[in-house]
Amino acid sequence: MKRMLALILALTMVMALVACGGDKPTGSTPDKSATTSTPTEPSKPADSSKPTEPSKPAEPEKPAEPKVVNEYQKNESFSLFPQGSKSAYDDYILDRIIANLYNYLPVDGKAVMGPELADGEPVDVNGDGKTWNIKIKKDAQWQNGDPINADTFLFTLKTALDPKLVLNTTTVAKNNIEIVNAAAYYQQAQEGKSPVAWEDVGIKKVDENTIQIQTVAAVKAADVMKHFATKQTMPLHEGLFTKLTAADGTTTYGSSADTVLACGAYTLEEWVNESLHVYQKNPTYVLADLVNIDTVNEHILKDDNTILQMFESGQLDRYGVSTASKEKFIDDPRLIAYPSRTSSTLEVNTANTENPILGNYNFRMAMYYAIDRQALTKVANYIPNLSVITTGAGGMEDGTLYQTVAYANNTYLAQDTYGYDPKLAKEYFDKALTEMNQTSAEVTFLVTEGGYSKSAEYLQEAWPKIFGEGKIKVNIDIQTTGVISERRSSWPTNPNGYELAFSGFAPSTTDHTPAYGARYYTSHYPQRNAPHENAEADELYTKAINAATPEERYELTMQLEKALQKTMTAIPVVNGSSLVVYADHYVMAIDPETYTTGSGWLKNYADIVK
Amino acid sequence: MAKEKFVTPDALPEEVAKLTPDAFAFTSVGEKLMDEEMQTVSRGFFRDALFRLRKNKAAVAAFFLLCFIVFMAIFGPGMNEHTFTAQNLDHANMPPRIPVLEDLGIFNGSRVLPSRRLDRLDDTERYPEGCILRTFNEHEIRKVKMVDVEVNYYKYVGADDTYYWFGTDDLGRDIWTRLWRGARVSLIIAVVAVLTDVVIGVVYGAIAGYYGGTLDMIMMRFCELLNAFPNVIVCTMFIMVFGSGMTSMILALTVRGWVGCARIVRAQFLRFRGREYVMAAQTMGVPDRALIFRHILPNSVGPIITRTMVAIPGAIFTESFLAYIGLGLAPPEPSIGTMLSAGQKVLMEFPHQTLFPAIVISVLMIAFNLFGNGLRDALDPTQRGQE
Repeated sequence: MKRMLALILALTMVMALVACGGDKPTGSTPDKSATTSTPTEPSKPADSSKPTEPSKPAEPEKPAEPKVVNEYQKNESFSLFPQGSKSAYDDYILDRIIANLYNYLPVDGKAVMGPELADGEPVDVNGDGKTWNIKIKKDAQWQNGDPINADTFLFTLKTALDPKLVLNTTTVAKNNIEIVNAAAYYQQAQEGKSPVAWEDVGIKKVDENTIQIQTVAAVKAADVMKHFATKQTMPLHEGLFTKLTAADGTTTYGSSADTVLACGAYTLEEWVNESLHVYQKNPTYVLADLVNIDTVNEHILKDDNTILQMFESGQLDRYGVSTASKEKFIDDPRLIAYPSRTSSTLEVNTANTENPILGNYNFRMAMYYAIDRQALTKVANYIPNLSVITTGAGGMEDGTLYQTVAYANNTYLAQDTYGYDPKLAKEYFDKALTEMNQTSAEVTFLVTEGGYSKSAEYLQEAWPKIFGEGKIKVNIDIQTTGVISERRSSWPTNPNGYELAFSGFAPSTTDHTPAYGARYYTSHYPQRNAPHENAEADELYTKAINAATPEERYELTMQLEKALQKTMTAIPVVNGSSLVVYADHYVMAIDPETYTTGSGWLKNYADIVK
Repeated sequence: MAKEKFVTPDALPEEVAKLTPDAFAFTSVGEKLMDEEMQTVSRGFFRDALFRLRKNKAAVAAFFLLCFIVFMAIFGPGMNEHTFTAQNLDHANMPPRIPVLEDLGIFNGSRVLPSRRLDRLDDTERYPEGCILRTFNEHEIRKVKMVDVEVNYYKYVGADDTYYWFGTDDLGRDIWTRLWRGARVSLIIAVVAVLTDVVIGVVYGAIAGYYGGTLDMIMMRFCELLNAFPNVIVCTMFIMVFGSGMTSMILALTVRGWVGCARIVRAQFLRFRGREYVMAAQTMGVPDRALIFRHILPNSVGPIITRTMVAIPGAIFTESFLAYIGLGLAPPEPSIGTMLSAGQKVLMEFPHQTLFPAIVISVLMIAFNLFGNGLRDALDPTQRGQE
């Protein structure tokens, strides 16, 4: 009986294996994934050894093999509603499928700001730099053929500023330029604010293809272009948006491949949640001639080991080098290193009532001087940083970065050692203990596993050596992202939810006004996760973002940083650093030497060569 | 009165037939009469179980393995000069190097550095004298000649006189020390959690089983309610609310871990509470507490011990799983789970960081399970006398 059972089981297994192991698809439906992935295989080179036979008629030329790139992202997108999206993963897809009035475009291997949907640069109507006409290309259209014109942008900007929708689009009103009455319009629903009619906002329709922007101060054409190059000004399809949006403002626009229309370099053909995005070159895109790659398969892959293996086996064309695999690529000529947009700080919850020493300035200064930022670069891919402003922030016409000027002007404390001074740290620490009438201190880092947890572990070991064994106890509370987010954001109502947390702030635009990188640490950022109360910094921030010239903006930003040092509620730690390698056949659209954090890599215009 | 002949003389031998009653005398008058002494040794229940356990070779081997791991968990962290918290970022991710074995070419501190520029191998600042063991797999990347280089990594980082038996992690901490410290922590968590389960389970199950009726129904419905929540979700939420740490972990494992033990004990009580000896004790006025713990509970010891031995690896596994999903112990305290979690992230580059914790947890799990199975068979009364 047992033998019979074993025989039946064995037969069943064999049959199952035979059924599953066929090379050819058995169904009549073509395998879509197979057709999209096969072109990545190297094509056979033409056999030149055989003589051509003149007697035979020439064979019809084979159609060019489609160019396919296999990409990945580590997390899934949340929403493709440009004005409502929040994550960098949303931005990645939006950059692929939605064009903007202006954008960075490749010119001779460099990223240059230029017109994308716009027809030429903005025109200064009165010559006073306050009224600008933006003409839209006549052939600008959505993937379904619907036109993109002045009405499209009026609808988009009105939606972005809609006081009922409460979107994260305040930068539409005031960023590189300040549009007349735009801020007052979206703030009118707030208590104590006067009503403002849409007609009073400085956004008008001139003709079918031209909009007019009125600014509060005189600005340059470059400022206007940068203002209309952010995702907050990306066009919305009016018909589809209206159809998918309820009366209360909730919308499903951009929640799937079927609820978004493309007008950019690619169309989103397939969106398998947490698995795959498939993009196809958009033939209706106004700059379709610049797009070389036909298909982009973008996998959602979370595990670094899997990503590395897939890259090494040729299944991916890009690999973002992890800290662990950095040594593997250290000599690789394909390796490209560049600073990320994220500047990280150690945020101190000074509102915490259970651990009042956090509110002591000397204690925070002690922590500032007790962080060996250069050592932290061995823990992960970091660049030591004493600034709350990201390393790549700029705005000068000659390309001089903000930090270059700030370091030259001695903006930071102990900058020769990147702020690390154990002796001074101990002095501040002892002073803090005396002031607080304590004999020792205890602090707790709130971190996620794998995020900043290694940095916290490093400090957990280092600080007792600096401040004295038994003088400080450093705890680490590892929690999930959701718990951390909830505990940090609820500090106004629950001030004891956390004590110390690392925070990375990556403003979308710092290539014009570096001060935007400090916005999070002022009252101008209402959703901040710690009580950064600093009236002087608030005032300097306002001045810095409204300053007319880059020199003034730099100067005011430096003053702003010095003002932040007077409270030191956010201790600058490091700037993120990215390492990437591309497959040999992948040709970048711009020369890596010319890369800036503002322009990005212009991936839509990359190419593949055999 | 004539004496009666009650035996047929013909049936007896002649000399016996001739015997008169006077020839007989009482031999043991005045002596205390006793049974003949048993020739075999009497064995109680537990001695019998031990006897049968000893005959189970797999269980015995598992027992010695467990003893070895417990020994290493206690003394292993002190066997070298490193501590489990000491960091050295210059010695991060060192490969294993074990004296004696290194002479055999095993765990000799060597490591392959892939794709190094061929024209820079002479740079002695980067490759100190004698650190390169061999080069192989010459290839080109973008027309630059590259080669894979096997180096003595200890010489490569300038730590030739140092030994990290199991290598180091990404903060340069000794894995040997952390592994045995982690094994200690994992064992403590598992044993304490399971013992807590047993205490709660025994008391709860005994009360429910002994008193029965409505009380039993209410108590067991509560158990079912608690059991309806998936263990992992309960543990995860518990740690999220109370924070990471050994106490939180133990409590998280205990929240619903006792239910199984309670059910077993209740079943035993339902079985024994109607027996004559229990009724006799009740009749004699023995109080309930004594009846429960002195008269009935000892009958449940076998199943309880078996369940405990099986529950310990389960608890270790759950702790490791929670650590693996990022809800492990608060640093710097290691556990096997936190080490596996960290090692898995660098599995491709530094496999030794996963290998050693994986071996220890595998051996621990197998040993506990084999020993638990052996105990179950040994303590099973139905198996008695079958050997």
